[in-house]
Amino acid sequence: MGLFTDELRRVLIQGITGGAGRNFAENMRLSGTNLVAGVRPGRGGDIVEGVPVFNTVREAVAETGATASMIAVPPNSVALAAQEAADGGIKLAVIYSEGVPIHESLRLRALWRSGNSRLIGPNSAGILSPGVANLSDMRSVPMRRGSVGVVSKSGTLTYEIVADLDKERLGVSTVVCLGGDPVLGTTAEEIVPLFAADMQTEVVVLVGEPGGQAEVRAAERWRSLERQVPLVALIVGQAVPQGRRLGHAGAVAGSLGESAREKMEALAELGVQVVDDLSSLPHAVASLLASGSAASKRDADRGSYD
Amino acid sequence: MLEGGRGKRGGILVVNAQADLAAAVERLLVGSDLLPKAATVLVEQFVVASRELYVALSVDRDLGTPVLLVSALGGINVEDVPEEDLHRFPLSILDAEVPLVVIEAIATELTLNADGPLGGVLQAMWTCFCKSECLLVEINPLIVSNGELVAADAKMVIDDDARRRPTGIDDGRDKTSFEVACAAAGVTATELSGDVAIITSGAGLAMATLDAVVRLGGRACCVVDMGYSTLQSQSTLQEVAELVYGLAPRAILINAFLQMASCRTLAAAMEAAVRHGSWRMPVVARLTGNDAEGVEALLSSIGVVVAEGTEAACVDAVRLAAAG
Repeated sequence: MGLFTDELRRVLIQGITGGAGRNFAENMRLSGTNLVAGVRPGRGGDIVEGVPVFNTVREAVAETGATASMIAVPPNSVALAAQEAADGGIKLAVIYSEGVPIHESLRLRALWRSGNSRLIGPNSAGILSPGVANLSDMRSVPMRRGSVGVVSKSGTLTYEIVADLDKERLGVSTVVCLGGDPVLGTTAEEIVPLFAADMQTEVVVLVGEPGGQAEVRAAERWRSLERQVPLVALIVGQAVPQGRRLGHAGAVAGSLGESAREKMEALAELGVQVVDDLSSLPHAVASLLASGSAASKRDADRGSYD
Repeated sequence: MLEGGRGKRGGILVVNAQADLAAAVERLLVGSDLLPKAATVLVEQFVVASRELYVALSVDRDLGTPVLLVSALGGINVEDVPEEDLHRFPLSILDAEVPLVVIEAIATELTLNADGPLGGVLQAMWTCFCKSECLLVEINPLIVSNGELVAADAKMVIDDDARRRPTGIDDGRDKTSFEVACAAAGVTATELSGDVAIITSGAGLAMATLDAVVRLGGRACCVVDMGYSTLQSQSTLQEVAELVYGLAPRAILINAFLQMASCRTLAAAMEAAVRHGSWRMPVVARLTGNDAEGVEALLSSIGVVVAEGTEAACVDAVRLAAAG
């Protein structure tokens, strides 16, 4: 059934009247996502993309039963918006905004982890579960429902991977973009067990980059799990010089073991199938599925674009 | 000198007589192969150290919390301290103060008195870390001298995105003029040494594209990651085109997979760059995603090599750079 299926049934957008917010609203309508409300202080009573706008998350939740939120507000408003989402009873929130101060991310992570809700991001491209909901900026990506779970920091690279999988007639269960920042609400270590417990997911793709140890920790966690779903990893940034940062605020290898190459070695030692480059990924996934179960055939037979 | 390893590289000098001071200062102002020349020199009293400790507050990105790092083996060789001698104490960002239990544990680790000056040092560091939104507050060495603690040297890194980031602070990280100009234009860029200019629509794709170019035997002179707002602005795209041209690449590779932004807008900017002479070298483009209809024909008509997929685009760019 994919990840977060219950939470994704009723979605709201914080910052719905802004440029990014409107884009998300349109995107959700086009992808059949159940967008029920928008929030923008001072604009309560407006209608955007056919859904009512509320002044507060609390009101929106009370009126519409929203359980998930896409937070698309300016970086300086993120802390307040995310706090409001937590206080308002949102179970799953994605922070799309980039440039959130790290101390605010630390505070948000501490706040959200003390409750039983989940925060994704900041600087996240979002979550996509074809046939359930599209809480992401993905629009031009083929949304084939299938059995591949994808967890990644990046957005753009993930679009590429989902499109490449589609060319092999492989669909996805859920795609989770964790965000490109160093401090995140949710890490790969927390997502991998969810995929392992999800019966729709037959193989997990872990996409990583230099900086931190999140991918290695995710693999260690994966090894300790009861249901061993095959794990394929791609670590990009192999050609990035040590200590240089390329694009993502979080993508800088500072300490020992944080470079792409070192992570690839560590993952391979843990029994993860590590591919060298983007172009080898779809085939690696396809062969794992073919050897593991009939899941790939199932995707191909279904062949639908939900 | 706004970087670590000062002592190791001869950036800290001890003089015993006032007569020797001028020569010592002179040496620092001139610099050496190992040591960049100093703009200013700090003169302070020599402290007799019975022990040199290491204390730092940093962000543990894997735990997602602040962390206190301490070692009894501080000083100029702290990078070589074995992992088991570097002790980590995670803290909660929600705490107003460093909890007493943490101070006691650290005092034990450093064989100091928990009721002594250590607590005050740690609290002051915590206040500084939180108030200035630091990624690092480091005291090394923290000297034990006649029962007193003396912070003999320190380093701070403030978050680029910090809300109250003071203006006019040179963060000491070397940025090339190209990187500075790109940042001013609102795009993230990294200058490298090579002859293929890589422009992409996101950081992950940028890294994957660089990896492919290098794997195929090419070398990149820069990687430019354009965000959504940049991709929508003709003037920014034009500015970036000229900055990239300034690096004199032998080939330009544009790899974009657009969702919210429009391929047509990007293609129009590329057309302008080619027509206005901002780009006179071979240009390879892989544009896919939102609003991509008709883009291929437009780009082909102005001499841009259109590739399908990341790998094919990198193959073309590396080949053209080698031929150019």
